[in-house]
Amino acid sequence: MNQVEDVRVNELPSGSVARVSRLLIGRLRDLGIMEGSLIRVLFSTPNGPAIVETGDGRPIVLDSDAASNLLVTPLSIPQRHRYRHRYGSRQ
Amino acid sequence: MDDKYVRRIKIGVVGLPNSGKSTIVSNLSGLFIRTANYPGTTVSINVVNLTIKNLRIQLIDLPGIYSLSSEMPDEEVATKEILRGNYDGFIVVGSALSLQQTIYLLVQLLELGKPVILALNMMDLARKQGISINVEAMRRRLGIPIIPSVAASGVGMGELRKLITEIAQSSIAVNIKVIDYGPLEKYIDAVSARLNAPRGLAIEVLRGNDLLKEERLKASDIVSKAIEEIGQIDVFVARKRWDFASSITKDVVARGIQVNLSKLDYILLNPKVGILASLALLFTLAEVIFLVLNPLVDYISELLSMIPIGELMVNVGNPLIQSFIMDAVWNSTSIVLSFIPYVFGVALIVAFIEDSGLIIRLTFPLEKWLRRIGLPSRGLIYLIAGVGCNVPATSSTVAIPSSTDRLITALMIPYIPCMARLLVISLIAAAILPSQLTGVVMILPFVTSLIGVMVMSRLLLPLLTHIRVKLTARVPYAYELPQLIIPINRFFVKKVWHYTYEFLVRAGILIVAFSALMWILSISGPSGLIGPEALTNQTLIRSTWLSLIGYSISPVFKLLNIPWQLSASLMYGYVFKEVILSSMAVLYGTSEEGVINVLHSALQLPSALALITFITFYSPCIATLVTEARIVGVRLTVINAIAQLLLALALSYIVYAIALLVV
Repeated sequence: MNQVEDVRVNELPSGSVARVSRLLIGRLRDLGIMEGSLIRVLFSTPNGPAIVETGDGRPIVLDSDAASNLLVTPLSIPQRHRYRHRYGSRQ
Repeated sequence: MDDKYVRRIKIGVVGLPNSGKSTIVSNLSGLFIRTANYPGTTVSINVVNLTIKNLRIQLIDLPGIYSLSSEMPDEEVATKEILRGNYDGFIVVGSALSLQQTIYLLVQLLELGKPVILALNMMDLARKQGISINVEAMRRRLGIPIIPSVAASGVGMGELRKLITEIAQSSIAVNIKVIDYGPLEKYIDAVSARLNAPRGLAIEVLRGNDLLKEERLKASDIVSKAIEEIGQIDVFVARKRWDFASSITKDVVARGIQVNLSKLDYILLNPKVGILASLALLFTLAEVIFLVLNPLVDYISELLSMIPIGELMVNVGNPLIQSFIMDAVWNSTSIVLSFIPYVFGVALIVAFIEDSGLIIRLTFPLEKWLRRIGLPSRGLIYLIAGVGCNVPATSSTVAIPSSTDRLITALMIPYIPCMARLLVISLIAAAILPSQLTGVVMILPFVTSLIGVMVMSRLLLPLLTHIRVKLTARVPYAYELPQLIIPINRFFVKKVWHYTYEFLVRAGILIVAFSALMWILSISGPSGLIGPEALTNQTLIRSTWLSLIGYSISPVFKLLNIPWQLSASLMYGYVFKEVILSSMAVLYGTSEEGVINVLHSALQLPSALALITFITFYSPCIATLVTEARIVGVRLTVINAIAQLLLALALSYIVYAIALLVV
């Protein structure tokens, strides 16, 4: 199967582009991160905080809990990190 | 009594976090309101009274929010006020850098049916980023007055004052139906009619706003039908609002919006090198500031030495009064005066950290690691803000929703060296090291406090579960990254001036008063009055109260080669850190210049480094202890204070041992 599985946003390396698939906290909606919207990961640390860029170019800081509660479908991952999210960064 | 005022109106100042609300209120009223470049600076309501012509205006500065559904305690304070407070109108402070986010919030205020003025702030930064907004087109689309503003330099404030008076004259158009919610409209009307509430409130009831549970119960049948037809109403409403915000932005932004990150951001926020880069930036800044200020310190010292105080005292006959003026009043006053460059330098660094947006850059790369020892991201922001003063940082922790996070943050803030402690440390550093190295030694208190926080949070977290019955789970936190700026504007200058002035006045009064008390203790003992000669006679001083108290704790510091006069001074630091230096002056019977000389001759480098380590967090001042007790309770405050003392002592011994090996 070629289906891409959803991952937490802090499992994606910096520079990735993803589509938001599920929000486990409503606050993110008020910051413009909606189901189906595109985001770019500016910075991320495995299981740690992340900074994502919304469609209108605003950088949003997500603490570790918020980042772990944002599930996304990866659309593009920088070549050098392509398989990072598969390798046990999930706890 | 107030007949001359024709009308009184109440205006709420609402806006995105970090958009400049408090700066605008400060600008309109002329009062100093503490502001900073990180979300959550305003955690409670600030009420400011303002008079324009014969109109008395009550401006209510509310904590920043992204929407009317709140998840953080400070946001809840704001949304409760907006939904329940009886306001005549609102000033919505938006950011030209986040136009969509601004419109998203603005819509929710408009739907409440009150007159709204939009102050579109940070227009200068938007222009710098190449963002051009057609304000006139925006006015037409939204049907409300919009003022492009730059709060930091006062641009747009005159127009804003004029528009506030128009709220009183009811001449501002109200645009309540900005968005057509389609299938939800009939339910909005039904809830609105049932509750006799404005459209905005009805939408919030349908969305399931936690603050409107009672209203939701009254309209539960309508809400159920709406959910049946539409599904997740909060998702539906949010999508409609974002679509609307996006369509307006497309129409009014002439040039594209770009990501608000600078090249420096990419270095500072980098999880691997960010923290080192931030610290390097801070210490370069500290070095430069103290190097530039050093000639000023010498100049003030020279000026003070030119005052012929000794000759003037010859005319005072009574030796007791002579000693009081010279040893208690003049010595302490000269210490306060010589503080000025140091206080200014520390105030400059603290204001820069707060206003440049560096706080967030420091917390982001550190968060993951500090999480492991139990510190939350929002707590980390207040921890760094504690460098200014531990008291407001500790009281700000009420904005942290999880009680575990709140308690651990409030308990850890006293481990952060505040401005007063940094001032004493910088003077010790200046006394023992060449001026070029003063900034380098300033790294020591921060490293020490980081170790302190890491050790104590690990020890205290398990204790919390034993002591507190009810601990609530952690609440995820997300916010828009504030811009990284060089904060050179009149508000920054005002802030540095305010910090310097406040500190000097407060510390000045304290130091002079405390020195007078110390003087009494140093010329009297269990046998009664000894006289001013005790100040210069080392045999007589042994019989004074001051000496007896000082000697009682000196064995602890003897191993560190710290003379009893210095260890005794530290004890008085329990009252206020500002009095440590004046205590040293009284105990050595010297003036300001004398303190630096005494420190220079009394301390070897290892002892000085141990002393700096100890001063970093051996005790918070009384004001911090009281605030801490209010947040965490008396029992935890006492436990924490004892733990701080023991850890500070242990670390100073370790630093002393390492320094002996290295130096």
